Amino acid sequence: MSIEKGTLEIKALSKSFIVDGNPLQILNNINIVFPAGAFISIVGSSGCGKTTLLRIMLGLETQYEGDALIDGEKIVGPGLNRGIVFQDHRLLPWLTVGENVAFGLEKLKRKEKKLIVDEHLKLVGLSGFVSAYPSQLSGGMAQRVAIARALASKPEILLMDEPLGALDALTRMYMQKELERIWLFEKISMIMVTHDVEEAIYLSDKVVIMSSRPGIIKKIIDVPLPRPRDRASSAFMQIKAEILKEFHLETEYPFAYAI
Amino acid sequence: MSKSFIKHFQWKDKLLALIVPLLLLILWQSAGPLQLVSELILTPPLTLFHTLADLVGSGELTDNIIVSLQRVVIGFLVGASSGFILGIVMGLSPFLKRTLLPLVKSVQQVPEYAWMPLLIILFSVGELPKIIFIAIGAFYPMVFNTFQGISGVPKNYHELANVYNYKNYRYLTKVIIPGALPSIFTGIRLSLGLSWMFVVGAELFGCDSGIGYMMIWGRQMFQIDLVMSGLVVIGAIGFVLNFILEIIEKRLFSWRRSFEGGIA
Amino acid sequence: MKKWIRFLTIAGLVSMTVAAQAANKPAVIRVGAVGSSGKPFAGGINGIVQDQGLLQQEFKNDGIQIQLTLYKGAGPAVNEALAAGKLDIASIGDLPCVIGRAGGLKTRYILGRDNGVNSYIIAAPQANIHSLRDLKGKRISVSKGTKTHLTLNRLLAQVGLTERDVKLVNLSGADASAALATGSVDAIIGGADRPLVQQGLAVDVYDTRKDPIQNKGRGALLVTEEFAKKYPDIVKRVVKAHIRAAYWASQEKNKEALYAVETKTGSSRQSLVVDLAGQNLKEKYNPTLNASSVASFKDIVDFAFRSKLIRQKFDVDQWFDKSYSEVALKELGLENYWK
Repeated sequence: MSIEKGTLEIKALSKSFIVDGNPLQILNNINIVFPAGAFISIVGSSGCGKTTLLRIMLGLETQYEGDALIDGEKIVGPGLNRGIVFQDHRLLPWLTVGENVAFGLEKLKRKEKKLIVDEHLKLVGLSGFVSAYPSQLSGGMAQRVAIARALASKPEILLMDEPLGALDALTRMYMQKELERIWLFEKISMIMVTHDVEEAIYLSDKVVIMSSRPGIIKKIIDVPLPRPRDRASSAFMQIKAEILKEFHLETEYPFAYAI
Repeated sequence: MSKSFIKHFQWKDKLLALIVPLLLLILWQSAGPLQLVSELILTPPLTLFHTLADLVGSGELTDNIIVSLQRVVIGFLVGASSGFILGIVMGLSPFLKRTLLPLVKSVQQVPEYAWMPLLIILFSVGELPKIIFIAIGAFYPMVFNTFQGISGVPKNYHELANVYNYKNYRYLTKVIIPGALPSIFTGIRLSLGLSWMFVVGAELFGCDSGIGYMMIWGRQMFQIDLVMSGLVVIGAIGFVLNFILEIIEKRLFSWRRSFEGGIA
Repeated sequence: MKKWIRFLTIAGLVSMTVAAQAANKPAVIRVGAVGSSGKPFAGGINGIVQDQGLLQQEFKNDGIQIQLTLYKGAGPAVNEALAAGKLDIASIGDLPCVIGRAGGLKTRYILGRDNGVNSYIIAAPQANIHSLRDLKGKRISVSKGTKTHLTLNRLLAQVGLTERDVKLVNLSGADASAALATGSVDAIIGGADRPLVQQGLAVDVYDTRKDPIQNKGRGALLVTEEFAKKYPDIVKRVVKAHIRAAYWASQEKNKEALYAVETKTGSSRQSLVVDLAGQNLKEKYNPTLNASSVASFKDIVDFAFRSKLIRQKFDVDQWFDKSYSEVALKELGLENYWK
């Protein structure tokens, strides 16, 4: 049985850290499949292990029980088939925007590099900024460069760790739209960790809800809404209420959110 | 604030910046006649100017500057590059840091000028002990600043390099060294400054050329104007060296331009 | 706080000076000399003056303090102190005092001290240097700008060589000895360094013990013009104390005691014995200003000018002031002792 490229599978995965000499369970028996081409968000309160789970998928954490598989193969370390966008843009300040985007393209020839860089800067809407330095960019621009860098090496899966978390509310909503546009264009799997329920619903095919101590998957909620999504629609609000209920944040007047 | 006011303000500032040194110069020139300090000890600026002109005219000054600069450049290159390499090695390997850092720090406790007699005994009186002496001066700021720069490269960047599979040489040249470069450059500046100061100490012993020697000779021969000329020249060259480094630094770190100053 | 204390001290000294001036005598005589080897003791005649407290004795009844400062930095440091107005009387080597005078220091030469300061050339055993002629092309350590430097020039000239035929390395004292011992230089010219020869690290090449007096170094006693003008009688008495010391040192019977004084400077007794062997003490410690000393200083001025150690010559006859020593010698009944 062949597995479609861009599939990520977590099987019976548990992980604990040693804190003050005692083992602390972070993740407990996680089982989930991220199908190819899907946009899936992981939400949960802080400490639920969602970032740890993402780092395992990225290959930065390798000590755990159970399996993490990409396209059926065990993840042994970071690889260029997975791109990553961190919460901080993590652009190297001494490199230009163009050089930052080309960071994962070391092995390519100059011409090819330039082509890919131009293509991806255009994709994130920053065509004119190829020779600017990160210090000259706003937070939202810097994060778009980080997305371009992650996509430039043509990953099958894009992993994002609260990619919009550091942005102001308006920039954030704009970037959510941009992210959706990019996903629709690239047609690759995207897995995003976020603590913003609305953001998760707006972007995702499925929202994975995790709870903490130890981190388990509490529920997976489908978001069968047509795109582009209307945050004010009752269907949207309903799903939001359903998710918030899992966090015991359900309100008696759900429609108050629409005001 | 109107433009003319700013202009006026700057003009006033410039005048002030001119007046203070001018007053000092006048005080300096009149210190002898006023019997504040003997002219034999504090050479008046006009006399000093004549001495400098004579020294330039006879070619003596240029010869000495060239000799000293050669020593500084070689000593600096030797000392700074070994400091750079050791700094990198200690910055990258916790094991080598644990073994070497205490050693480097304890050897640093040896007062600089205690080295020269030892170096003469070890390496005879030629150029070698002088070069090594200058290299010792250049070594310490470089090793510590490089080490600090490298240990100060954020963990985030290491992680990024790991994600993109940067290893060994590529990792070092593309991430580690650029990340540590501001600190390394501080090291280079301090290092060059110290080399330039150490050359005077190096020329104290068994020597008959160079700016430092010229000053020592001037003192021995009770020609204090030679000593003062040496001071002026050392200051001026130090200033020029620093200026050149500043230009290089500005070019190198253009990426540091702040967001406000850049494209909005 | 420190500054204030200093200020008060200076103010006190100044007022004392002013008060004393009224009685035409200073409150304090500031004497400077070279403290050899860093030990708090002057060499030669100064050492005897210091050891026997001759100046203190001389001025005890006048309530005049003697303030002796020994300069580790040798001649140059004494010159600087003179320029800064910190000294009234200074003991200094021949070349440094010529350099100081040529550099504009207002001093008078009032007494000789020691006319027989010898120079020794020793060489590393493997350097194959046995005579002055062998020095050609060798690395020789010399303290540039000292009398020894002049002596080296003279010695080289004796065998038809000049400074350009050898390679001079500017070192002095212990640095020079270390350089020779480690083979950094082939030979050194300096004072008697017997330990080095005894340990087999060096061999004798030449020394000036049997040479005519112009091959030897001299010491000088200087007074500032200002002090001399104000207190001529005091200057005469200072000179007198030094002549007493010279008279004592010039007698063979005091030789052992002389060694004892000299070793206080840090020199080894053995080096002193070697240095004084066969020397005429009366000639060596002849402090009078005579034709020989004038000629010697004229020679030094010429050498210093030719070697660009000084920028202008000056008149040695004008600089010498015999008046104090002539009176002092008469008062001591020694006017014919050194003739």
